[in-house]
Amino acid sequence: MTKFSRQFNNFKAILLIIVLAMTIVIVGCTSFEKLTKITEEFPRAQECGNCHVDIYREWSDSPHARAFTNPHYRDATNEYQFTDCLGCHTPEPEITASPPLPRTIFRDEGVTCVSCHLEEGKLSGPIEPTGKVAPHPIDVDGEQYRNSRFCGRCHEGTFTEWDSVTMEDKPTCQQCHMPTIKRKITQAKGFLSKMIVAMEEEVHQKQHVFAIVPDNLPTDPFTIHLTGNENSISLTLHNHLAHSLPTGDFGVRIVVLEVLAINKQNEATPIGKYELVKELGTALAPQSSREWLLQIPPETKSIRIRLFRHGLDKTNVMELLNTEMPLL
Amino acid sequence: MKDKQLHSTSKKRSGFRKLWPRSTSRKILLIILFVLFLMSGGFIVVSEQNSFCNSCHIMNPYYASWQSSKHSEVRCLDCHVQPGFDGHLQSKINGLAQAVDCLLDRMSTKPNATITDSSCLRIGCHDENALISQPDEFPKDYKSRFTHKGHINVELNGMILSCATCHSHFEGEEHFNVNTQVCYICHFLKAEKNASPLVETKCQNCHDVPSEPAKRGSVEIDHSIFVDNKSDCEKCHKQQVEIVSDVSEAICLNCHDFRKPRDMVSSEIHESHFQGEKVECLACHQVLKHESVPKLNFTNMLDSENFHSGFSSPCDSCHSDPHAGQFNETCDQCHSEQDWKLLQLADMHEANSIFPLIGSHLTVTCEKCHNLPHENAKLAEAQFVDLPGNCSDCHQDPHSGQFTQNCDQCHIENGWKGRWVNDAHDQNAPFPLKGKHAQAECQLCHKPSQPDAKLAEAHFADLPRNCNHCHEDPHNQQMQRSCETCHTEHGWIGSDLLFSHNKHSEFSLDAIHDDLDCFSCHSSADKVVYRPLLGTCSGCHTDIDDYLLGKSPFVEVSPDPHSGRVTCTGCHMVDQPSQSPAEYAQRCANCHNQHYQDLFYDWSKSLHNRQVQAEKSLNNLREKNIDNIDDLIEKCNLAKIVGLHNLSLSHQLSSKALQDSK
Repeated sequence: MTKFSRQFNNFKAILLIIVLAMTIVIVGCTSFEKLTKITEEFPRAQECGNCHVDIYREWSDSPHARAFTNPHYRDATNEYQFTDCLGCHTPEPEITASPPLPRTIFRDEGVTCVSCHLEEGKLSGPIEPTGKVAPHPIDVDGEQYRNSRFCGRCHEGTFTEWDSVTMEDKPTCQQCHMPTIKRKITQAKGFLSKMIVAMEEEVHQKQHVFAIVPDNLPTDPFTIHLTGNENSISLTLHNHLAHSLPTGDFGVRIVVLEVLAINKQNEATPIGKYELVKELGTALAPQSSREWLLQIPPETKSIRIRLFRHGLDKTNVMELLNTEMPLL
Repeated sequence: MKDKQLHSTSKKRSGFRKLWPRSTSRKILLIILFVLFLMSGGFIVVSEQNSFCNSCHIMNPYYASWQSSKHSEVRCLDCHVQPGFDGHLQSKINGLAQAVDCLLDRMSTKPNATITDSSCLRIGCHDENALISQPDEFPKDYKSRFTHKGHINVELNGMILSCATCHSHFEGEEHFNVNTQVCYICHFLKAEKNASPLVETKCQNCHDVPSEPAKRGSVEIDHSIFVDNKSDCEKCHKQQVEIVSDVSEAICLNCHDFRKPRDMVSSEIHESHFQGEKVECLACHQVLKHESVPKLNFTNMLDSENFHSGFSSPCDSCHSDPHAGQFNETCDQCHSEQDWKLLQLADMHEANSIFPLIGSHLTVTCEKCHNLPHENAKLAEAQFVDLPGNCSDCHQDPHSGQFTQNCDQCHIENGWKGRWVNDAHDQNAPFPLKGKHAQAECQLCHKPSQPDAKLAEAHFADLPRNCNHCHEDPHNQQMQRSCETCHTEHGWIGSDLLFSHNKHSEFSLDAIHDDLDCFSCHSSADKVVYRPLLGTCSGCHTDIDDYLLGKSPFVEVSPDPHSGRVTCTGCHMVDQPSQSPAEYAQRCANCHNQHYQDLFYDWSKSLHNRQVQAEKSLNNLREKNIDNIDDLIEKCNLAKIVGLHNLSLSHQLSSKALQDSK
């Protein structure tokens, strides 16, 4: 802002700014008032996305956007027949309710913007306003939004796991699943908005990707430790997460540990395949490890270890680990 | 008659001389007399012809018997007129008197004639001395001995016997022969019962003792023994003598038309009828019978208890030994005098033989063991001594040498068949018969070689004792344990079945399966299957397994996430027969979380609602005769069965049915 005033330090410029500012204020005061009213017409995500372009894009690809429309949910509720699930799959904008109450309108947006950020007539968030103007009332509650408990209203089981873990520098949900990025809160699309956005400061904020398997974690979430000889090995899988592997309360989440023996001709022979399922008690608890003893076929050069996750649909595979380790 | 005429002629001839006249007419008279004389002479010749005697019709039978008799060559007058002139004259007078009687119709219808001894003993006929000294030759069938000595010139009770006393009968062909009935009158006739006859007679007075042995059956009777033992002939030979002596008054009336004077005694009657006018004995006395009982009955002889009393001779004096000297013992060791055959053989066998008769041996005929030497032989000729006494000597081994034991190890003499006393199946035997085996027919296990063969020919020794030798395995070798693990001999099924599913099978019957019909699990394509059966749930519930894998006849979906990860018992409680929805819901929550209780109800309700919807639609369609209605109904029903086993599948099935119905 200070640069801007330095570059246009003349009357014309000041006049223009005043006109523009007045225009923005007038436009803002009239056009964004409804965003904060809790009526039957909640603001749609698309409306938020008009300004919060990056966040909207991130959210649109996130599981939260598909919370209602994804076919697994549809099947699992027998064509949306169950009301019990709606509170978390289409939450109302009432943050204090735990678990949240279900929305009655535009349910197809799933966990949408207002589900987390509209509270008592204000749009709430963890960051202080960065713009010169606020087109809607803003409330800042950094503690609430940075706390894992906020996620735990719906992700009850995972939160319980996380909550019970004692570890050094225990990351919150947001720390891993909402990577931090430094950028402006809003992004401009048109001429006017570009001018307004231009006045915003870049701040460190959270990407709304809600990735099931986050990238670029500061440390390896899983490590493999191999001991033994050329006939048999002991394979130990360490889960460094603050929740179990896998985690989640509903639906199907299966983590598979696949071990392959690679011989000198680079031919792979499966020597072990283990499923980790929370409901079956085979999930790997947070900050724990499990050991498997494996027989090694002759002439094995190395061991390839694959750790991947899939749901009911086995074709949709998320790789967690894929490493090849030489045989000791 | 003829006789009388002869007499009368001689009377006329003697009167002629007294009436001879002396006048002139003497010449005429003389001529007449001369003619009469010639006629008389001729009549004498004629009247003394045998044929003249027969000129009277009442003489016909006597004449006929004379003609056929030995005396047919002897003229009537030679016997019936006494020798000498006096006799001849007397006969002429008698003949004349008879002629007068005939003319006056005073003739009796019963002719009466006598022959004096002098006629018989006249020179040229019979000589008295010769008769007395010579034994008479009797016809062979007379079986008796007779001599004239003692019968000639003998006085019996005032009656002097003459030849005609015995040679009296002259009717029919018996003219002048002796009717033995006349003998019996003197020899056997008694005045009263228990009195002595006129002549005391013993058998041997007349009958000779047979010199040759008499054969009666197997017994040769040498009569000399009886004589030596002074035995009474009547012990054997029953004679039949009727000794009624009373002469009824009615008999008198045959000849007399008056009654017998009451004071007339026997001697007076005999004097007039016997000594005076010769009347045949049998004219008054009835016929006597002295004869042997037609057939000499040996048994009757032996019936006499004292038959052998007083006998000192050994048995073989009379009886030949039919046993050919097999026995050293005396006959009375075995035989009694009461009966030869009705011996008390059982007792005898018991006492005297090494082979006491017991049980069925008592009733078997003797010949079965004591083989006859030839077909027509008698039992007595069979072998009795030194018979080996082994079973096999009389009995064939029907078991064809299967057994090394002696027969009496199993059989007793009380009976061969049925349940033996020495039972090879008794409680200590290798195969004791218990329960149903005790009631089973022997042939069921001891199978005869041919359908109509006897049981004894069946296989007995070393018969395998395992069940399947006799029983077909109804389980088709599906069972691995031996039969007796589950079955007893007291019964195969029901309460007798020892089988306990929890104990003997690898699959314990939990509360769910406890009340199931056996065939719910143990049947496959109309066959009873016990093995191989997987003891797992999917061994029977293959359909549910398919549904879990997402397979159905109509549509295929991805496997249910529980498939291959959660066992049936993860959801289904096997320790109670039925499971409430709340218990199922709790089961969900046990693995997942508490929200899954609600999810369970949600799913149950929603599936049910969809089901009801689909059924409603199908019911509406049913009336419209849609082609694939059955297919839809089946889908709908299948969805109900699939239920929560595969939400996706049941959802698809009912949804598809619902969609298709629309």
